[in-house]
Amino acid sequence: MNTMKWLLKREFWEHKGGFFWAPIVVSAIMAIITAGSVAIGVTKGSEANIRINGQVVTKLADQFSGEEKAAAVAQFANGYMASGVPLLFVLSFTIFFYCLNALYDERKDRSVLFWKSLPVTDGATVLSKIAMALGLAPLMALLFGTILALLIVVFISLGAAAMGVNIFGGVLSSAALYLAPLQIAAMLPIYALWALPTVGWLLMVGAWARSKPLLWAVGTPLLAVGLIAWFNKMLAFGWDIDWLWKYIVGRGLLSVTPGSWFAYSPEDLEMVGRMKQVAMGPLLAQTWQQVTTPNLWIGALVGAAMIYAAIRLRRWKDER
Amino acid sequence: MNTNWHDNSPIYRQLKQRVISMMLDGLLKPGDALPSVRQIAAEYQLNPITVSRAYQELADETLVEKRRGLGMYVTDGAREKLLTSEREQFLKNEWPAVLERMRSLGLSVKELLAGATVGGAT
Amino acid sequence: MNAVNPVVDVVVKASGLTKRYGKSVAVDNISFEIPAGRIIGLIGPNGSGKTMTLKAMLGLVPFEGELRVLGLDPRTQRDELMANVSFIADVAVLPRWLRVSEAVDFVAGVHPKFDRAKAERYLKNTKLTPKMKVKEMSKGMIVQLHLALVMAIDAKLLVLDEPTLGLDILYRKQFYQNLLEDYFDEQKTIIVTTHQVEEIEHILSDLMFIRDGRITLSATMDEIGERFTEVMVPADKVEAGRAMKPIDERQVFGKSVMLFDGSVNGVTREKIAALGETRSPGIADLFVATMKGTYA
Repeated sequence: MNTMKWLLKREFWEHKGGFFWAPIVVSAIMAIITAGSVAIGVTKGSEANIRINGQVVTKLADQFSGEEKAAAVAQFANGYMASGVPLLFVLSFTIFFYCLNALYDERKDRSVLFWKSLPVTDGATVLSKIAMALGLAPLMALLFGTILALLIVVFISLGAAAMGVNIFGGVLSSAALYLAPLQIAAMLPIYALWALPTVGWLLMVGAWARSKPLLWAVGTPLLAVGLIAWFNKMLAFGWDIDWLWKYIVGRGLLSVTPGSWFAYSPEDLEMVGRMKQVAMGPLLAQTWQQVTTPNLWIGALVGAAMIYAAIRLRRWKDER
Repeated sequence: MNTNWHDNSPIYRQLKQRVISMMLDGLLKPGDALPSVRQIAAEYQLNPITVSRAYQELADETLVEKRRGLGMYVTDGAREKLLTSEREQFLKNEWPAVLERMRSLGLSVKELLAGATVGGAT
Repeated sequence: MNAVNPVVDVVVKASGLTKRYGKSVAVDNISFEIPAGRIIGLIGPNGSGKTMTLKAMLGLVPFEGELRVLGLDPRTQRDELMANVSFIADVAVLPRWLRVSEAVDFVAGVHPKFDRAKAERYLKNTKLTPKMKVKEMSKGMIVQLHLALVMAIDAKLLVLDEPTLGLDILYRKQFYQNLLEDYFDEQKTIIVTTHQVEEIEHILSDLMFIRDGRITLSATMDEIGERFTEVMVPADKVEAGRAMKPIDERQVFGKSVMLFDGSVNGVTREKIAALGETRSPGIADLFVATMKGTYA
């Protein structure tokens, strides 16, 4: 019995809108906008510039040497995936609300009584939702993002060609073009571990709350830390409130945002800030640096504990 | 099919009676198969155990027989057996009661026979 | 799990089963045994503890005392239990986004005892199409889908908690007809709770009345037929009748209808028959008679 396969299919059937249609629609819109602006740029003639990754491309033919052109093309190939960033935002939202509702919706419409009438363990069920949130969903987003980014590369290259600059050869022969999606994929395991505290918290609240899970999930940490902060101020305790915001609220609610780990070390923040163009290599390296931090592992452990609590709640909570 | 089961006697006995009536009326002839327990249970919304019991009693009285793998079949001579016992039943219980009623109403047997058309026995 | 021996095996065994809800006691130290091959009705008013008892059997809630279903403890062996128990919790529990084809595929993929061909055969006789979503279906159609799935699962125990609530009569009749025709056999046991007592009256082989967390009556339908008698008592015999302590008395068309429990001392067949015309009470009347205190 390949139960996990069917559990994953079930998650997909239920959430086709968020995991499939939303990214496709966003991608389509972005592709159309890009194609449109390239077309407009081309028709405007030589007054228009095409900027890719901070580098103006149309002036290449006239003003830059072959070497500099090659470097610009390389940067283009390196950073083209950045055009997929809007999809990352879509993904963050989708995963956040997916986890919040994963164990709540089935309680609200009582369909949990149907699912529990079948020989599928609560553990397997919860695990399938985590696998969807941190495994399949990001992979799908990566797939859509890659296709979108490649489409944009094609549109822009076509536009450049229409203006007399041929970058096709340079871009297509650049190794970075093919590496970039793989580099992002290599970041996914860290993303999964990093996101565990938020995923665990949301699943747990969804398994517990009788109603308004969003209020409980977001309100509780905000209120708690807010109250402590207020007391701290009033009674001048001198506690490190920033730490609470960063680790309780930040890790608890925002860990599903890809890249949020960069915000936790000043060097990383600096590095990202200095980047005028997005380069996957250093990002990937810095991401895997997280493996050496206690932040990642303690967060993962806390997340795992909350996931366990969520499984127990699903097993034993009596719904009226 | 909707039937009213009256509550004077257990269901299985009423079901048995029904089958007997069908046999007497010729609707079930020797060699005919009775519908399966499952079918009757589903159609009349009864517990299969109830139906089985009715069939079992009919089998005990050799009115029907179980053919292995096929089901229940009306036995030869079932009708004759029934007619005999039903006649006995009529003469012993029902007829005296009718006579009693006639007397209390002041009706005489001769008058009734003269006026009535006696239907042929089926 | 070995095959259930139809003659001897006990499918559900409860001993001192208790379920507390905060300060109140929903199920109060009850004990009972349900043998295989029966169709048992668990009848009780709302809040009587019948749903809690079912939930305990299905491992959905914790409880105190001993309870064994198919020989397993629902608290610690629920996963093993669910391969052999099916239940319909009530009419509207299928998720609204689910399509007919998805439902069949899913159950086929996770349930080792699911007969896909059987489910599809059943569905062919309904108006359900593979692409249809639950949210497009009427209540009756949802029940048809759920029943198609349940009937195709070769479970030893089927628990039905108000399975026909709110359905119109055609669907209700069809529901039991299908269960009897295509599903039930001596190896299976069905536990039903329902408010529509009359419609399953003749389908049941056993009866359990539950009230305030306690079992007030537990017997086979045969035993009930022997034990309880209703009499239409004319005015002149009413005094004599009342002296025999009927468990209930009501007025019908100016006559007194008294219900007697034969297990009470001094109440015999002859004495009852002497009062007037006798008959077996329907479950509904029996239920109302024994539950009168609850609704007062």
